[in-house]
Amino acid sequence: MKHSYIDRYSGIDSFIHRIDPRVKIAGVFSLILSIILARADSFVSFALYALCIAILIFISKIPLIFILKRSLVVIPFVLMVAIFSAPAIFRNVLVKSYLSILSMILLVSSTPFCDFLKALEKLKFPRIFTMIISFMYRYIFVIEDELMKMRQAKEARSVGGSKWLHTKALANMLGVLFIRAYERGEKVYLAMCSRGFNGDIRTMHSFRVKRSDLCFLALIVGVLAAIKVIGA
Amino acid sequence: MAKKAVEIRNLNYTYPDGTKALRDINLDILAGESVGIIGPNGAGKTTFLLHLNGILKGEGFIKILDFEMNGKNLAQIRNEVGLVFQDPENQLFMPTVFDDVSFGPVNMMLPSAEIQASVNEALKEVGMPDSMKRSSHHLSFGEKKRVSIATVLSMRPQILVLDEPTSNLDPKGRRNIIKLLKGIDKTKVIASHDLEMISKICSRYVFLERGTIVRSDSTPENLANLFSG
Repeated sequence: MKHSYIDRYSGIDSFIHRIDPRVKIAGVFSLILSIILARADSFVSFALYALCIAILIFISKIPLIFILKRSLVVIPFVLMVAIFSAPAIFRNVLVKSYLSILSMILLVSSTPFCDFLKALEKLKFPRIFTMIISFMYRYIFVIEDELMKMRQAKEARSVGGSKWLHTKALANMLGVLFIRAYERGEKVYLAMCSRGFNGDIRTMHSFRVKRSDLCFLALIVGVLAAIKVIGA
Repeated sequence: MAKKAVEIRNLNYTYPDGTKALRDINLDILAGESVGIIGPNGAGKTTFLLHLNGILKGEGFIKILDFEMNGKNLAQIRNEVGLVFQDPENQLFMPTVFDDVSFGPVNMMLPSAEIQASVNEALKEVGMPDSMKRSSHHLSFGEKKRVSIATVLSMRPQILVLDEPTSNLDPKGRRNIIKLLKGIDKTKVIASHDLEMISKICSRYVFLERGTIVRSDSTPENLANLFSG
């Protein structure tokens, strides 16, 4: 079964893809930080940030339509804010969160997910969290497949029956899915122990910062500073 | 006479719910020997394998190479016994093939050049030298089975323990695995229902039923004939 993976376009060869993941994270993080800290009424700076992101996306060769589709995830959250706030705040939140999510999508989809996690580890992000994300990423599709198979098995035997009955069956399925996921966790743990795991998570890294990475970081920081000055 | 790789005396194991899974198992496996563990579903094959590297701890005496099974020797035993689980989804838990195959050597705290070398060697041995950067979940089932074997080969164990290495494989994948296992020069313990595979790889078989060894002999030309009818 095919799944749509979060890092589907991470195999493209572009300048953005080649940047050291740590540098990329630092660059995007500073970009997001300055977007969030921008003055709410400074439309020039928002336009410049948008331009900046557009250029980066263009260089990365990732299909624009993919990024735009992915960016829709932010809408429900923004709408929730909209219910409780004045139009000016709503506009501010919408623009800032949308620009931020675009940068995040660019970062995540231009980096193989495992490199992204390793880079986070290198940047002193707590290892227990990166391990949890890594296991989640590894097993989410396995569990999704299990759910799908269970649903198919249920459908194959569901003839008639009341809505209430089906709802009850669904609840049972979720319970079973939980237990299966739990038991799989146990088995994976045994497989880890068999290969010498003793509670300390160790991984190997092989990143090296190139001169072009530093140039990229310097460029980003320079541009962000310039936008700050122009927008002020 | 060759050295004993595995020595088991009076091994008993009862699951927490009271089910007696293994009763009075006595077995010697010589270094370099390949032994097939066969028997019906629920006979205790997997339970038995899990004792070989101390994942399960039953009553009785187990000695692996020069190490008696106890808490002190556990790490050493796990370095020497490479256990491959039946479901590769459980065996492969890291994001990339490289991370998975290097997981064991990294835990053994080998220097990184040596880790790199053993990963290369293991992947080459299973015929997947170019898959290092691939994600484990993007592999085909046959490839997952091979990488699963590589994950323990990279630890360079003396004893290889495999649970159903050919299950769910297509005929070609199965032939590949048989060829691969035949070519590995280590002590092997293989639990399986695939009698043809056992007769091809193993010099000896052990038949388990309801937790006891009911038969143990050298494998004939065609093991399946022995149990047909």
